[in-house]
Amino acid sequence: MSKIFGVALGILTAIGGFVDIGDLVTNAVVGSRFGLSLVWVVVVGVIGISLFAHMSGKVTALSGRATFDIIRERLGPRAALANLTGSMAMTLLTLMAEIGGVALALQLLSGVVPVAYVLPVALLLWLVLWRVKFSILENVAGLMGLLLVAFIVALFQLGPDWGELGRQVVQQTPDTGENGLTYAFYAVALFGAAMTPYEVFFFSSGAAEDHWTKQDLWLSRLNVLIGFPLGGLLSIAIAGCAAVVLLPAGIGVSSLSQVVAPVGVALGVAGLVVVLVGVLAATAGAAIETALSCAYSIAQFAGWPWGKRLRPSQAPQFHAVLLGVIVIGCLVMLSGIDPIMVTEFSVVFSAVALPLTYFPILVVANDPQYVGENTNGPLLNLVAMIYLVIVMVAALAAIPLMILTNMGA
Amino acid sequence: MSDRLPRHPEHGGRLIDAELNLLDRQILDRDGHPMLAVGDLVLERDDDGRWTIDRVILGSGLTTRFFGAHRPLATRDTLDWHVVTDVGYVLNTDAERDEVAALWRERWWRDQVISKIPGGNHDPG
Repeated sequence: MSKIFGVALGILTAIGGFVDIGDLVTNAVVGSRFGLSLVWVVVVGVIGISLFAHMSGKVTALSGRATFDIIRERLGPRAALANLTGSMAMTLLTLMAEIGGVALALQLLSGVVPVAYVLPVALLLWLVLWRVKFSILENVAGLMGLLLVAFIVALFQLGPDWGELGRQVVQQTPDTGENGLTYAFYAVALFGAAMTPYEVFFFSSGAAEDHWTKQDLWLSRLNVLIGFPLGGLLSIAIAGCAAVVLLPAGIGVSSLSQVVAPVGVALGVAGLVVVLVGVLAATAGAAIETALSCAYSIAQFAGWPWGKRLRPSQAPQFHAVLLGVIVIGCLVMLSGIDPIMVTEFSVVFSAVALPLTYFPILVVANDPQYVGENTNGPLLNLVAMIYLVIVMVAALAAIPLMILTNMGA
Repeated sequence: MSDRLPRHPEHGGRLIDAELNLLDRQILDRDGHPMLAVGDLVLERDDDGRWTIDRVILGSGLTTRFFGAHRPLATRDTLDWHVVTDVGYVLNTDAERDEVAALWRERWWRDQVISKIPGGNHDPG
């Protein structure tokens, strides 16, 4: 059974991590404006996150060292602190967006204003992280997040002109009426949403929580090979639904109700409820992952005991940080700030934070002291280095594009 | 280059690059739980004029540095080198967690906050 649970880690990271509020919103926005012409970015992102998640999982399984431990050790405390500050600001922003996403999904299910849900959601989130076992967390959220498959069902039910969708996929340029800079901005945002660093923090720390060893390396490969492509497929289906329903109608996406509207068109109220529960599970799962990622990273940087596998009193500072980030996230969302806007900022800043996270992982995955004979092969290193270049370009382009396009407006 | 490096001891022992293999590495207590990282090393010269590691400074001291101060050695948290049992990609020690003075912050959070929340001392799950 524990093997099946292990595979669920990959599925949770894929659904809750790959498809979180960032992917839901960004893919729907992109689908409604550019059709499927940015699908290539999702494919590039899926391959990238798979490579680096696998490497970080491998390092953790073989050495017991999680990602931020290694970042501190390789970059030194000063550069690592700069990195920590950047990635934590980003992850905290994502946590806020996820809390907001849960509240929005509840609003659509119940009709009550989302801000009313923020406090109960945050309280529940903390209770779950305080008391519930790690393996249960990952399995329940992972399985419920699978309801997002409704996007794929809806796409088929809509009976789109597949030839037209295929044409959009190979077109890879914006349609008339959209300019190249906006297209580039959304390419970077989509890439940032797909390769968010917190997925790697969570994946490697989760491997330690699940007590992975060398025997579990196949599990890491399986997780990455099934989990992430599944997440990518869902992302494409979300964009596809928007491309079929919203693009021809000229509807732009600025709220969660527009993200899920195509499913309602295709499958009716029942489909809408299913997909909203899926959104709820995926955002709640991602809220759990982002909150944990903040606490994991800070504890690993400082060298404190961390993890859900210890009693809270054995990892007191880890739990203090966990409580702290939830309180901050809750307070910010209580201000009534638009979660969709927070989400859009978080995916762009995610792109900026990428290089400093992925470079140390690549270096350590080649260090025999950590991984013994399981160092990366030449092909994996070549591809990973090509990705570092892509990641650098995306990081450098993100802020200028954001300013030039006024957040893609 | 090689003539500048110290020679290996005649019996056993191995060459360790302090900057590469010691600084910023994780330290573990006797139960294998993390116990801060190596911030710096305190060296001593013995009667033969050889340098030996006397103590390990725990934590980077970045907070005081950030505010423009440099903490004197006497106020830094240190760990005697003789408790180190193995140097790998981490420093294993046989230090008893509750006896390490440097971990007072952890004990404060544990005793004043986390243990007071219901469930704080329960096993996970």
